[in-house]
Amino acid sequence: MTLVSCMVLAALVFSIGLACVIVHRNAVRVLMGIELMFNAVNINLVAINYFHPQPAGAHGVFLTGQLFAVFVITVAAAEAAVGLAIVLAVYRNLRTINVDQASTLKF
Amino acid sequence: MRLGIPPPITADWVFWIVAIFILLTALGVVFIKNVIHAALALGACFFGIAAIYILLHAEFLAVAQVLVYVGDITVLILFALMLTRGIVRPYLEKWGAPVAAGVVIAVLLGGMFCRYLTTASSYLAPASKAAPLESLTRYGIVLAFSRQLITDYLLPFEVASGILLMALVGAIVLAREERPDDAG
Repeated sequence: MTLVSCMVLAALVFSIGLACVIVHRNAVRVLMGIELMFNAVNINLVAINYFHPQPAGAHGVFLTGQLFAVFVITVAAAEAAVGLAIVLAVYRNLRTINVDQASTLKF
Repeated sequence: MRLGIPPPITADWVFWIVAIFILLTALGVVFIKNVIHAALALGACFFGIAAIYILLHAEFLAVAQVLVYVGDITVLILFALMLTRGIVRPYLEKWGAPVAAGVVIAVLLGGMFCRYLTTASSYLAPASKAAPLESLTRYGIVLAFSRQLITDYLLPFEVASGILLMALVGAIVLAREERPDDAG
């Protein structure tokens, strides 16, 4: 387990999430792809935090990556709640959740 | 501060097994036909990522991952799928040009990332093993984590609570069913 292997894993998960976002038309599956991409970023943050050299002495620990990942998780939770509420509102109004059919705003 | 916790597992094969599990379940999210099964594969993928966090000495994050992602987001997605179940088509519209383009873009991006990361590995290697995270016990890491969260990162912490409150109210307003007899 090296930094490169962790980052390669994160890159692959990110690419799979991107494929999910591009390929699917169901809005919920698009949101699932976005969650995968969030997780890939979190793996990167935690891995870099782990392999970063710690400061010498008793000045505390370098944990910035982990703290950043906590805030990413917070924002991801808020995004999922609002996104799924929007999906439900779109479903109530248009009777579809396919992102290519909800095109009222399209010019 | 040592609580008699056994040393963490850092064997390489554990990482590789978990990584293969994560990649397989992530591929399942994209390619499983049934949407409900894809959502369950997403939950399994989140579990695997929590295992990676444990290997990387982020125990608090691993627990938060299971609580928030597996317990909250996967369940939310399942609820949304059930509430819109009647019209969810099982799979892609068809394997047309957009789908192929999406897969090609993702494969190219992933290949580019991997090639860059493996060739730049000399830059990514740590300069010195000054004091790795293993020198602390698990308890010490969580202690330092929580202390930094409410001292150095107090402002983002409070802003995050504000964001969660706004998201809560916004989600309720968006998802509320509007009936004609509602008096405002």
